[in-house]
This record gives sequence, C-alpha cells and structure tokens, in this order.
Amino acid sequence: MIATLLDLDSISAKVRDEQKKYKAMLMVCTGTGCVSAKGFDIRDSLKAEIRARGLEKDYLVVGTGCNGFCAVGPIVVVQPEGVFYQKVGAADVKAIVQDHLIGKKVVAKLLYKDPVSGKSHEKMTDIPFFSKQQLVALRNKGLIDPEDVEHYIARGGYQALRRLLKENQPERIVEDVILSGLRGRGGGGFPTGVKWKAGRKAALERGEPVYVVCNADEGDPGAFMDRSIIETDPHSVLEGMLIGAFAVGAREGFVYIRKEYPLALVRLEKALTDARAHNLLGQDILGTKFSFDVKIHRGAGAFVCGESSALMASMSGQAGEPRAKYVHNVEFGYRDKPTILNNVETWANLPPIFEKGPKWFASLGTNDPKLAPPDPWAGSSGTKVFSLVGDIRNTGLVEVPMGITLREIIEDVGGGVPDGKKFKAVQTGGPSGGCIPASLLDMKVDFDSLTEAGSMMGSGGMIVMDEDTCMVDVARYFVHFLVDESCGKCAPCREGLHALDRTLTRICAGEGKEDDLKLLEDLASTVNAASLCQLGGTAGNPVLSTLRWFREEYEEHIRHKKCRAHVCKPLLRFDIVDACTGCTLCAKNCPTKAIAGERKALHRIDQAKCIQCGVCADVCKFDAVTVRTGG
Amino acid sequence: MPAPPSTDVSRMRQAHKVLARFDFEPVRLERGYANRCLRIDLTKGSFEIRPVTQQMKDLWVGGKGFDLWLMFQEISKTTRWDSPENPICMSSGPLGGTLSFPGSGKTLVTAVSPLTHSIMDCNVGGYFGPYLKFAGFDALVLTGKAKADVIVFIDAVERRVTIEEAPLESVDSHLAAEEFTEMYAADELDKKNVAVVSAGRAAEHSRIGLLNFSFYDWRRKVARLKQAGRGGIGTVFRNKKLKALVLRSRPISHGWRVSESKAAMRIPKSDHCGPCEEATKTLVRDVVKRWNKDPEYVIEMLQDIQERQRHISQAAVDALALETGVSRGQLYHIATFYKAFSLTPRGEKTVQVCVGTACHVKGAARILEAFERELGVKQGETTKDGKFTLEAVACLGCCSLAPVVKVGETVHGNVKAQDAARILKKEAAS
Repeated sequence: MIATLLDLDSISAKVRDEQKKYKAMLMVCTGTGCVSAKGFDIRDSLKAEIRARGLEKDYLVVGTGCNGFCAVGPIVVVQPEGVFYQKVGAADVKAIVQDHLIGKKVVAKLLYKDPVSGKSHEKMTDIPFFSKQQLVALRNKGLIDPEDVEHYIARGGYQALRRLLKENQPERIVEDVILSGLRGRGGGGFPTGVKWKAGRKAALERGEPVYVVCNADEGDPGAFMDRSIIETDPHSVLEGMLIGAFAVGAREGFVYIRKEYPLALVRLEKALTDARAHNLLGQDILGTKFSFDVKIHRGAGAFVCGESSALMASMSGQAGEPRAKYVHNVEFGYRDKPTILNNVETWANLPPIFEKGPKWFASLGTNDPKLAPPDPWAGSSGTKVFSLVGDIRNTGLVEVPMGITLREIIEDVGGGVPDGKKFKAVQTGGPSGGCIPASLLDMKVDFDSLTEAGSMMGSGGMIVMDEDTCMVDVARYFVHFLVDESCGKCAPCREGLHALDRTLTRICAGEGKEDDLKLLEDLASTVNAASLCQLGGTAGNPVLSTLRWFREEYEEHIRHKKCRAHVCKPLLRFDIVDACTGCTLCAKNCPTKAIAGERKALHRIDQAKCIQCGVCADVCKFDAVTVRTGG
Repeated sequence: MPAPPSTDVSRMRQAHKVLARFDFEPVRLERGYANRCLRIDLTKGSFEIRPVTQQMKDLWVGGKGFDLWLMFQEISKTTRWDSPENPICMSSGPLGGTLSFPGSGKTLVTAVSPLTHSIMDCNVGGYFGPYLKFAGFDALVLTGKAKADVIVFIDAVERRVTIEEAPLESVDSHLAAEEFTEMYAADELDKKNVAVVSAGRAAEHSRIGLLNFSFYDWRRKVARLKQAGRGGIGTVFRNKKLKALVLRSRPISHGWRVSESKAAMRIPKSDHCGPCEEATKTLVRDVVKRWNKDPEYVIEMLQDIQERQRHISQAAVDALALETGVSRGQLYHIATFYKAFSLTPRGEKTVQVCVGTACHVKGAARILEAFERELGVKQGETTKDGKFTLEAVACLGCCSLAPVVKVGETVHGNVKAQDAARILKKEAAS
C-alpha cells in the first residue's frame, strides 16, 4: 500500500537493491508468439535447472512480455550484459546454465546469425533488427516482469503520475498533450490532446461524469501491437489512463479487450489488482483527492467493435453496431456521457511524454520544428509500433520513429524478403488499408504520407508480400474479410462489399470481364463515400489501392486468364514432367486420387479430378510437378 | 406496483368457497381450433361444453364472428344490458395465440351494451384469449347473474373450472390483477401463465365500465392491464357480480408456434429436455450473479455460458432473459452478432485455422481446405462425432509462426497442407 506520494521511491529503491544482488537476470520472452513456441516451458525449465544447481541466489529468471523479435523465438536475454539467445529449445537450457552462467562462456550456437553476412551477434543491441528501433511505448519490453507492479515502479513507473497529481493542474496536462503532437495510434490519427480538451469541456458544461476508455479490441488480422503492449507492460497503459482520467476529471475507466487474448487479459487483471493494492487505483490515489478505477469489458469477436461508437454499444451489452458520426463520442459516448476513447498504444505513450516532456516527444518524428506550438494536425510526433509480418525475415514487433522510410523498416529492421524472392508490396492499415508497391519504398511513414499513397496508418499492421502473392487475390481476401465483419446496418457497406466480393471472386475464377475494372472502381469509391462508419468508409481501399498500383495483374486475370503468382486456382494447371522418378509420393498425398502411375514410371495427373490443391508440387522432391497459367 | 405480501394472498384464498365445479378433458388443437366452446351460467352455477360446427367456421369465422353467433343463441328481442341472459362472449379467432401475425394475441369481447342498448364488440390485448384457446376452448360464454361477488377460475393445469365466492380480494383491477396473479402462479416464472379479467369499482356506478385483461410483464415484474373499452362491457361484468375471471394456463410448449424465428430454428430440439434445462438455469443464475446482474455485462455472461456449455441454448437464453431483464430478441441479436457464440453445440476441441493476412500470404487458404477435407466438414461446422469444430479465424497473433493452426490450446506453427491428417490424428488421441 502506497499511502503517500513518496512511497514510490522506496519501492523503487528496494527492487533495485534486490536486483543488484543477482549476478545476472535471465529474461525469458513470454509473449504470445514465444508462448506458442513453448516459452513458458523454457522459463520453467531454466528455473528448475538453476534451482537444481543451487544457483537461485545468484540468478533470477524473469518471464517478460514480448521481446518483439518473434521470428527467432523463444528468446532468452541475459541481463545486464544483454546477450541474446534465439530459438532456445528445451535441450538448450542446460547449455545456457552450464556454459554461460557457470562457465562464463557465451553459447555460440544459440546466437543470432545475420542471414546475409553470416556474422554472429552476441549482444541484442548489435542486431540490426533492434538497432534502428526507438522505444517509447515499448520502453520496458524485455526488461520487466509484466505481472509485477514493483518492476514497473523500479523502472520509473508512476513517477509521471505522481508529479502531475502533485502539481494538480489538469488543464495544463491537456495543453501539454496537445503540445506533444501525440495523435491517436488506433488508426484515425486524431490529435489526442484535442480530443481530451473537447471531452473535458463537454463534461464541465453539462456537469456530467466523463469516462476514459482504452480500446484494446485489436481486430486487424496480422496486427498484435496492442496485445503485446498489454502483455509486456500493462502498467504503462494504466498509468496513461490515470493521467488521462486526472486531466479530464474522470472517475471511471474501462478497458475493452478481446477475449481471444487470454494472456493479455490475465496480465491486465493482475495489473489492476496490484494497482489497487498499491493505492494506484481506487479512492484517494497516492494520498491525493483523486479517485479512479478501471473495469474490464471483454469483446466477443467482432471486427467492427474497434470502431468507437460500436465499441461503446458493445460495452453497454448490445450488439456492436456503429452509429452516425455527427454525434461525437467525446460528447455523447458511453452511457451518453462524454467519453475519451484512446487506443492502447496511445495510452502507453503518455507516461514517457510526461517523464521527458512534451517537447521531447514532439522532437521525434515529422513535426515541423518551426511551428511552436505545433499544429496538432500537421506532422506526426513520436514513434509508432508496427507488427511486421508476412514474407519477411524478421517478423515481429518493432517501434520506429515517425518519418522513417518504408525501406528502412522492411530492409534494415525487417531483414528483407527471405528465400531469394522479390518484394512486391507492403500492406498497411489492416483490412481497410491499402497496398504500397515497391516503387514507393522510399516514402516516409507517417499518418499523412500513408493516406496520400491510398493506404493508411491504421493501428500498425504491416504485412510484407513477395512475388508469390496475387494482388487480385489479396484484394478479394480483404473484401471477403470485410463482408464477414460488416455489421449490416448501412446498405453501402453491406451490399457494396458483397458486390465487390462477387466481382473479385469472378475475376479470380477466370471469368472476369473487361468492364469489371470500371465497375470495381465505381463500387469501391461508393462504398467509401456513402458508408456510415469508418469500417465501411475505408472498406474500398484494398480494391482501390491494388487497382491503382497493380492494375496490370487485374488485366492479366481478365484478358489472359493468368495469375502470375500462381494463387488463383481456377487459372492453374498442374502437370508432371519427365523429371518424375516415379517415387509415388505425390500419388500418396493427392487428396482426390487424381494422380496415377506405376512405381518408377512417369506419373500423370487426371485433370478432371485435379482440384489444384498443390500438394503434389509441395511434396515432390524432384521438381517434377509444374504449374502453368495463362491459357 | 409491489405485489401484496403473500400471507395476505393466502388468507384471501382461504376465504374462497367453491360454489360449483366442472372438470374437462384436454383436446388437441387442430388447424387453429379446439372445436368446442365453454358456456358458464352464473345463476345456475352450471357449465356446458358446446361444439364448434363446420358451419360456424365457414360463416362466422374469426373472434368477432364466433361471439356474434353465440350472442344470437342467447338473446331475444327483450334482452337488455342488465338482463341475466345478456351474455359476455369472448373469443380469439383461428390465428389466436400464434406468433406469426400481428394482432393474433387479441381477444374479441361482445355483450349487449348499457350505452347503446345494442350489441357491442371490442377487442383487447393481454393473454386471456390465447390462453383460453390453449386451454381447449375457442370461445367462452358467461351468462346469468351471481348472488354475491364471485370469481370464475379456469384452471388449464388441473383441467377444472370453478365458480368461487371470493369476498376478500380487491375489486379494482390494478390490485385484483396483482392479487390473483400472485395467488395462482406457482412461482415467479409461472406468473406469466396467469391471465386475469376484471372490471373495477367504477363499473358499478357508471355505464362506461371497461374490462381489464392482465398480462404479467416479467421485466417490470408487474401484472399489466389491457382494456376492452368500448360500450361498457365492464358494467355488464360487474352487474353479473363477477369480481374476476382468472385463467391459469399450462406453460406454452414450443410446438405451438406456426413458425419460429430464424435464430430459434437453428437450435436442436434436444435442448428442451427437462434435466438439462434445470442445469442450464442453475448455471445461468450463477453466471448472472457473478456479473452482479448488470445488463451491461450480458456479453460477458453469454461468454461464460458459451464456455461452459459450448453453445448458447434456448433454455439459456430464456433463463438469462428472465434473470437480467434483457429481452430474448436482444440476446439472440447479440448471440448471432458476435463470432464467439454458437447456437449449436461446438465440438470438444476447436480447430482454428488462422486465415489472417500474414497466414493468408503464406497459403492459409490451402491449409483450411486440407482441414475441411480431412474432417469432412466446412468451416464453422462440427464433425458428426462432436469431436472437432472447424473455424477459420482472422488472427491468432503469432504471425511469426505463420501459417498457424490452433487445436484446443495447442498452437501448431509453420503448418503445411499435408500436415492436416497428422495433426488431427495426434489431437484426437490426446
């Protein structure tokens, strides 16, 4: 229990002293990516091994949140020296303890090896994946136990809140957030401070309570920033919410989080319990007059609930259907009261803004330094967390300053496209974002440039696609996803997406018509213009952006019945050529028994039975199965 | 309006004296008809069941038609509004009590009017008309005049009609409806099966007295009233010294509906077994309690129910509606809106094939097809043996392992199409 403002320091000192007693700490990544690859088992067997050797007084094993470098998980980092071990298996636990901890020798085979230069990197900071990153929202990743509030306090946590409570100038906080140039990280890029100001004003004018809400309903496929932040550093989000609540005068806050995120949910609940026990939530926080508490609402799997008005409907126990935007949530939101809704990453950015000052934050990114105070709508301050996935070497979570180029993210941080394949496009902004072609790789990444290129920032999913990706199929994929997720309330989104889906499916099936492209453009722009909420208002983007940058692929599908990426099955034909040794492997694996042939004799595919599943080509060891497309 | 304390109600009931009693047999409804009417003579204390003839159905179809036909059997040109033989007839037509048409819950009431001295008809909501039909009567004729205040109690559960002296109950409808509902319902849930018709004290002193038909509003937890207002039939009712006409219905079976709502039709019939319904009710009560009965948390409640029962059954929706006051329609809306819920039982293990963008570009569509082939079901379906439910999900959040398949709690990374059979075999065994 922290009764007064000063107790934070004693906790911080206590934890640091405790940590100093250890010779080293082993930080085992237990984010969802690594847990899927048995991260918990590694943590537990490391603990067991250390205990078995009687070393538990010298070495501490800490399960941390997502390290970010998911591609090489499970990850163990030995601190304080920062030695980075990748792809740690159950068999490697003994080696780490025996060689590294006892023998003081780095285990070479577990080090990260640069795939291009072949050089091994011992320390985490030397690995290019980490060296270009700048950590603000993820500042504590891999350094603290997310389930221990005292770890967060020892890293300077809740100090910003303490100072602000002591100063007791809520209006000034709002002004500082505006000054920092922080824009909402959930997709829209609305200036956070401006939103707060409006909410505070509405609450004061009407004399009504105001709520703060954290949007953790991350529905974009291929995006897991929010989940990782909660799994890594839940108190950072909580402190952000506390600062926001104090600034706008809220007494109640909510986190709306997907139920599909069990680990994040557990850590968040633990964080709330710990914060209450430490007087960081509840009545008279840190001995001041400020009272605030946070409740959790679990989402039930609806993409549209990431939209603000749908989210609030869902929080009220109703179906998540959006409403028209002319009623602003900041004035009439949850329970028809002023409501400040910010995304997880936005909240996590707030404590560092007040630790280091709004000017420091504004100096990161693409703000015009001549403008003081900066125009909240011009430029993008700070950093952005991206989940870098798809056909890229270093999949994982990265935090980079705004204004970095796409090329730097993809080639330097991401390590480029693997397997000698060519880069084709990067998709940003989730299902209603857009695809950006190779020609724009030197574009700066910030809110406004991405929108100009026909995509959007979104919440920060970045999916890299190589030459094996068919862009027509990608457009169809996203439209299909949105058809499923459209809530059905307004006609342009409900019907328009269906029409788009039908047309794209036809094109992918080789039944496209010449005027389909015009039709697609018309439909997509109508959906964008006429839909009720932002889900529909951007739903045409995947079609429009692929049409804009990859029109020739559409034309090939329609005119030549050709899918150059070999994805659209009706346009493919599989054949077995002379290289076949008659090993029968393909015939054994064929699900429709379409392959006939004697052992050691050339096999043949019965085209009438073939369903173009491609299993034969996958299993063939002699490259004897060929794929043809285009008539 | 809070119900009076139950001790009062039992005292009132003890004061009842049965003056006449009649037992009747159940009938099956056939094409909207029970094919019989009930006639009660209050002067003689006698009961009679009369057939509904084909001619009545052909020429006098509908509640108003039946009522008028029955009126013509009872009255003569000298019948006045206060003559003992002036009958009050009540009927709902062949569609009465179905859920398929607006207005099919109405009851048509006729009598010679004290205002116009001619035959007057009026229609009224509430549950009486449909319940009368479910009890096995297409129409009711009340004739004669009692000596002192009586009630007529039609008990469709015990299949008995009684005329009882009832001295202690209120005459005023808003009280009488509460008292009789409380008196004859077995429990809170049963209250919606009681329908009360009454007229109130004003009907004794004026010619415009109306009839109040009650229905129990379980969300507000009160018996609410609908009015048969035209022509002063309430005045006739009180003139016959009737304090109330009470009908206790059997709980309505689902088989009665002409057509179910789409959502309800997807629920297997096996859901309606008695013992599992009891278990569901207990579960729902526990869940609702855990979330403090707060309707804002119905989504969370449904999640908990889904987790425990692997689907949202009709019994669960009914119980949840009763416990939280959220309407069944709203609950079905939620249960079909969100992906987390299923109205049919899911398999023991769920096979989630991630088709998120990262997995998609790495060939998730082919993986999904492979699992569909191996399991013999399409995505969203459950295998016949109830072992696996196949789902395509948007993102499992471990994109670095793409393509990913999650079976139960186990994540399988870097899956290839030909791995499907092996994974399923392993998971079926574990």
